[in-house]
Amino acid sequence: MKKNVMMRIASVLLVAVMLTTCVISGTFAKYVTSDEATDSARVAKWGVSVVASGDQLFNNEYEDTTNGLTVKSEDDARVVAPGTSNKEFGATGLQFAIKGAPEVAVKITYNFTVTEDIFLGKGTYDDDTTGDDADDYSFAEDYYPVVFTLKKDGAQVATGNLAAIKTYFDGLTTASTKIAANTTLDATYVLTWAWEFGDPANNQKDTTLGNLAAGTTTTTNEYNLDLAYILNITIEQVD
Amino acid sequence: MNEYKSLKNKKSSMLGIVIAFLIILETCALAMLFSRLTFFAPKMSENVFSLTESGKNTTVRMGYMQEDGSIDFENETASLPKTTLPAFMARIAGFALTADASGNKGPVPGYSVYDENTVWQANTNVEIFKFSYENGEGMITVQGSGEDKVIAPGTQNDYTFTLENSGTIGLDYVLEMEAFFSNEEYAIPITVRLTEKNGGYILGSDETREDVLALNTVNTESTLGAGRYATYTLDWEWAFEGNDEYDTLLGNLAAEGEDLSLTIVIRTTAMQSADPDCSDGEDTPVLGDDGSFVWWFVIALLALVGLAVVFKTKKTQAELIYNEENE
Repeated sequence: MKKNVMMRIASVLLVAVMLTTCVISGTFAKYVTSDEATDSARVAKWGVSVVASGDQLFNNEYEDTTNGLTVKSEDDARVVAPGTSNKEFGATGLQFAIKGAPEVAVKITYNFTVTEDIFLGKGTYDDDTTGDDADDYSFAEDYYPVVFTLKKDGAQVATGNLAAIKTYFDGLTTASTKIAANTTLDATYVLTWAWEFGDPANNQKDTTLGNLAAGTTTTTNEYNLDLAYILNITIEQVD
Repeated sequence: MNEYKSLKNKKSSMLGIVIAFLIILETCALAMLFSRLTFFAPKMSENVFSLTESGKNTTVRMGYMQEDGSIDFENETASLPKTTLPAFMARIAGFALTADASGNKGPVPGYSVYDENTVWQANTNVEIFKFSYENGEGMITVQGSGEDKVIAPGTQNDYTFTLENSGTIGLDYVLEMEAFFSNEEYAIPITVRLTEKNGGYILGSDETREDVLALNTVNTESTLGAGRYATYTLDWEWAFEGNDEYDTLLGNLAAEGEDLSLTIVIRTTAMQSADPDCSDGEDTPVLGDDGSFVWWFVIALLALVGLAVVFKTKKTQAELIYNEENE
């Protein structure tokens, strides 16, 4: 009997311990959770370049074997004359290329500044081609003897005096104010010039310009004997 | 006969030792149990906003934004798992400890983190950065050529995420962040601000922004009461007007194939608040389980009935043996 009582007590205690232990295990149960989020991005590509190449456009000496013409500057300054062009001294022209595939929107600004251009202003001049001081000639529009030609990827896009070239670049700037991201930029421009030789319509004007440069004649009309220009190309990201 | 008595005495002694051991064990267990008991006291939590009054068990639902704007939910009851025996027993045993002011039968933890598009999981890709960016005129000004997200001068984004306590017990949580640039030779000129919904700044201020690598110092600890949430916003920017020369350098390096990537990691960890004396209105957790009283009573009753049957059977057998010996 005693044994049975003790067994019963032991059994009850065992059950009580099991239940209590389960309750304690519940108090140690702890909720823990974690979450993580991540994101990455790389720097957008730029890689746009404007590369100018080619020889100088003007020289101090030219030789035209076709016409047997030689032009040489007296003081080594770069000169132009009837019958000269960039080809006469082997120059291929001024080349510049715009290349790149930026991942940002861009605008391209072509800032072509005409500092001065060679011209003979409209009006009446002594005709120095006849040898008779009484002879003169007239014309109604300014005469620009040096004719520039601009080509893009081999195709002519503009020709004329420096003002005509500037007009083209101004228009190009307007058209390039917002170029979409990921647009491939790939254009090559070449600028050349020539002063035509032997055009009867211009012989008198060419002679007058030459005499003005030599100081052997004068005029009250407007004229200029030098040319200069500046070309700045800027490519920048659009916000 | 003497040997029989001696054997009986040995067994009695061993049984006595076992009973003594069980008494000590039970005493210790009861002492430990009562030392861990606490009472539920609902309090207000600062800097968090009440979502619902969680008077019943709260269901946590994982949701995923669909293309048509609807949300596809997965129902999931946030409670202790019912599949393991210890948890099951804990649930049964814990009922007596889980009385609270609203009559809940036990604590139900629930926690989720989400943004406007995604509910976070273990390692979720989120949209801190973008594949393309538009300006105020709707024109795409930056766009990656491949499948990568990109950053560039003039890009910026605000990323908002919410931590929600959808359970019935208070949670302590830790918010950590990490930022690293793939190329240690260069610095990425991106600045950030990190704010809480109530306008408090964790990084930066109204007038100042911090370097993006300052995110590595973010280690915010706070609490969430039951049914409450906290919202944070990470605001990053690469200023358009900055060091143009340096920005162009980075862009050219990227075009040449250099790996110039910025990575941001946001990490949250939530756990049951174990401090019964939490201040600032933090909800004190109810420990134990939400076991059903009925189950507890039934199993205890069955155990007692089983014991009684076993003893009765043994007693009958013992009496039969005794009678046989004496006949």
